[in-house]
Amino acid sequence: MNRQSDSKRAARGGCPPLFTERLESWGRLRSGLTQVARPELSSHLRGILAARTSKKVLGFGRGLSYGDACINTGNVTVKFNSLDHLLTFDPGKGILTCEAGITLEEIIRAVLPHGWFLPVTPGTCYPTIGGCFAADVHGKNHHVDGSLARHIRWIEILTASGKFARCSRKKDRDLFLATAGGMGLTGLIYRLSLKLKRVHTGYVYAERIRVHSLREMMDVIEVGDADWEYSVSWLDGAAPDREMGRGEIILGRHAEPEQLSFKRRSSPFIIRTRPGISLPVTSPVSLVGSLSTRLFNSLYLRRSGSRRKRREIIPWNIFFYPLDAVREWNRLYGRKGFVQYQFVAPDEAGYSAVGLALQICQRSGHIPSLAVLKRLGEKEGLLSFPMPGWTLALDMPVRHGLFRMLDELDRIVIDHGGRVYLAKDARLSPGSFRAMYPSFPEWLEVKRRVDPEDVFSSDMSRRLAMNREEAD
Amino acid sequence: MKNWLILGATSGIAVPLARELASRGNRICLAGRRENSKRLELLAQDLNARFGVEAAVSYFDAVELERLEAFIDEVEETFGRIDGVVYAAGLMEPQLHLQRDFTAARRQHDINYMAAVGLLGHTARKMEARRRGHIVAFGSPAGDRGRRSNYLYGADKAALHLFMEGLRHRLAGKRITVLTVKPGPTDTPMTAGMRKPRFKARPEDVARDIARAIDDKRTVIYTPAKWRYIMCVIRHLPWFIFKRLNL
Ligand SMILES: Cc1cc2nc3c(=O)[nH]c(=O)nc-3n(C[C@H](O)[C@H](O)[C@H](O)COP(=O)(O)OP(=O)(O)OC[C@H]3O[C@@H](n4cnc5c(N)ncnc54)[C@H](O)[C@@H]3O)c2cc1C
Ligand SMILES: NC(=O)c1ccc[n+]([C@@H]2O[C@H](COP(=O)([O-])OP(=O)(O)OC[C@H]3O[C@@H](n4cnc5c(N)ncnc54)[C@H](OP(=O)(O)O)[C@@H]3O)[C@@H](O)[C@H]2O)c1
Repeated sequence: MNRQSDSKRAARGGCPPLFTERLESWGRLRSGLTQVARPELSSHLRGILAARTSKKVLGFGRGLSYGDACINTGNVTVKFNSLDHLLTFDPGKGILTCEAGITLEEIIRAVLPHGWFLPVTPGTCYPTIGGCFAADVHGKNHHVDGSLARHIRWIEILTASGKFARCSRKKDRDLFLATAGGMGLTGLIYRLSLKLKRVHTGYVYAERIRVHSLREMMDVIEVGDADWEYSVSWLDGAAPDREMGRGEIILGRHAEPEQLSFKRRSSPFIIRTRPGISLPVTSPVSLVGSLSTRLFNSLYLRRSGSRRKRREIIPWNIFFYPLDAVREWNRLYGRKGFVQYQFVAPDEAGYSAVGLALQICQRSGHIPSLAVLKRLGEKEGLLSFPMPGWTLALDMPVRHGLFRMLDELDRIVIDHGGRVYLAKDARLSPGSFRAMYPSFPEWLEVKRRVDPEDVFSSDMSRRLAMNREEAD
Repeated sequence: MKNWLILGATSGIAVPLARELASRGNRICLAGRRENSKRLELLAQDLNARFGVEAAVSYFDAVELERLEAFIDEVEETFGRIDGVVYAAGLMEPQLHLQRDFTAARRQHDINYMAAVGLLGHTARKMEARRRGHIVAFGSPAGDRGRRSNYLYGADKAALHLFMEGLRHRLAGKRITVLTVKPGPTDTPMTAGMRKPRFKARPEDVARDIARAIDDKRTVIYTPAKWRYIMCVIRHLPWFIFKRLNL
């Protein structure tokens, strides 16, 4: 038989074939040629490590982190697309075991009909559960339920030793906490066990509240967070100074069957899977300019009418994943891409940090096209992003002078005792990173124990010099 | 509940398609090469864990043309009456390699075309007698116009397209649907090494389109849908322009 014909898939010596490709993250900012492997069995992961020669290795979910955390230029990238099997699911207890490459959307499709939902979800359902654990993602319920790692019962990870290790909050706790939020740098996450959240319908009972200033917004959020499971706020980054912070607060909780209309009650878990509209081409220039941003933001505000409060019952996908309705909306920003700058500042410094950041954007003319504010709670992993305080996420197209302004924002964040989210970052300096992540030395200790030769590495870890204590 | 046979069940598009079909409560038989038995067993476990349906595994090799009809008979005996069949196996080797090596081109043709004729033709005879069934196979935009960069693969797909069209004509009025799917570049092992990144569709989206097309008894679909328009333009480009394009 002609063996050559199988070159695309056949694993040689346990290692699947490698192909040179250019991978991109969601921000379309960084992309480099890398050798891509696409394992289909756990044994292939071992094979990849064994065959790696001097190259560095990195896990890749679906590239929905914004910066260079999932990019490994010139080295080996392990795409988890085919390691996406659901292994067991207990519909009685809500416990699920799966391979790391399964996407959040696929998990929901399997578990929602049985009355279960993800305990924590980011604002898109397309990433993998492994990628979400590696970033220890937070959702609109972080103030109540914490980040994803809190709901993971155990993970199985292939470390540099070539062995699979099962770890959890109890067993090999260090490795677990260094991997949650560790951006793939401790090994290849192969399997996870997850405790799901009980829900009685596939709908969310939501309340929207209009506010006119930052102070008012933060006050309303603090009150709202006390009795709502989900809370997130959108603010108009283009608002003039005196109206800074005008926007909308969206609160929600899973709806009960009694709250549904008679028609919906007969099938409360209906899963709508309308495929999103996708943009056929990348626009050569950014369509998101300051004019269109202003227009969009004020139209949006007008659309929501003059009433201060509105209540509604909406399907889960519209509440949790409004941005998923347009596939690849990142292409709107043109070839140069965009950044999302997300930081968190501790409670007492929140108002000042958020206010300053918005002012600086205004002053320098980098108007955020999207600005999202939310209150966070305690962190889980050693490099996890959250801290009790306020997080602001700003989407901005890449234009001349943007990076200089972001450096200025970094200084403000550091001065306020906060930090920037690594899953969104592509430009932080090694020094700023160390100032923002005080647990880094502790993390590095674990990293050195499980990966002394720094096998697992990314463009981000090399940029931030994450294999040594000092910045330079 | 229907019984679906997926031929080439480890394919990047077949995996999410099997999940779509299982999510509708169907029983699934996953067929692939014996050397992939571990993966096939895992996929069966996955379908069962996700949707609580029964999934079986069976083995065939598309290059063993003379065994294909017996294989279908075996599946009907052990798994049950086949209500729907998908032929997803396929191979796309580099055009240059095929141009220089006729044996390789012939082998690829066996997998892409001859095996489909054997497997689907034999299943169609059974369905015709029962007057019910669904038949699905993959064409490709590459089969819409011969291009120097991959016309040997394109020719296989054009042949399969015509076979499916004829089969559809023959079975018209017999309550059997015959669907040809033409996916644009999709993120599967087949397109590994294609350097452009964002160009590729998500296989989950492609699978969803296919499942909906089966429900709606469609005949030929492009997925993502924009490829219908792109290929319409490319098909109609006058020769003096077409020959200059680097496609
Ligand atoms: C529209 C949108 C909204 C978002 N909203 C939120 C939000 O609300 N909250 C939030 O926290 N995040 C949010 N994110 C960020 C996103 O959830 C994270 O970046 C997530 O990590 C992406 O997962 P992925 O599977 O695409 O992983 P990738 O982006 O491919 O990788 C992310 C990191 O995980 C590592 N990794 C991936 N898989 C593995 C594996 N199997 N083993 C080891 N390492 C692995 C990679 O090396 C990389 O460091 C959002 C992103 C988008 C695009
Ligand atoms: N992906 C695209 O962009 C694209 C575009 C247009 C059309 N298509 C067509 O769509 C279909 C599915 O594509 P895909 O991308 O999902 O392909 P893929 O992931 O490369 O899978 C190809 C499948 O064919 C099987 N196969 C190969 N040789 C075989 C043999 N001798 N016997 C039995 N099975 C064999 C493979 O099995 P093993 O696992 O055993 O190798 C695998 O399951 C194919 O017909 C393809 O031509 C794909």
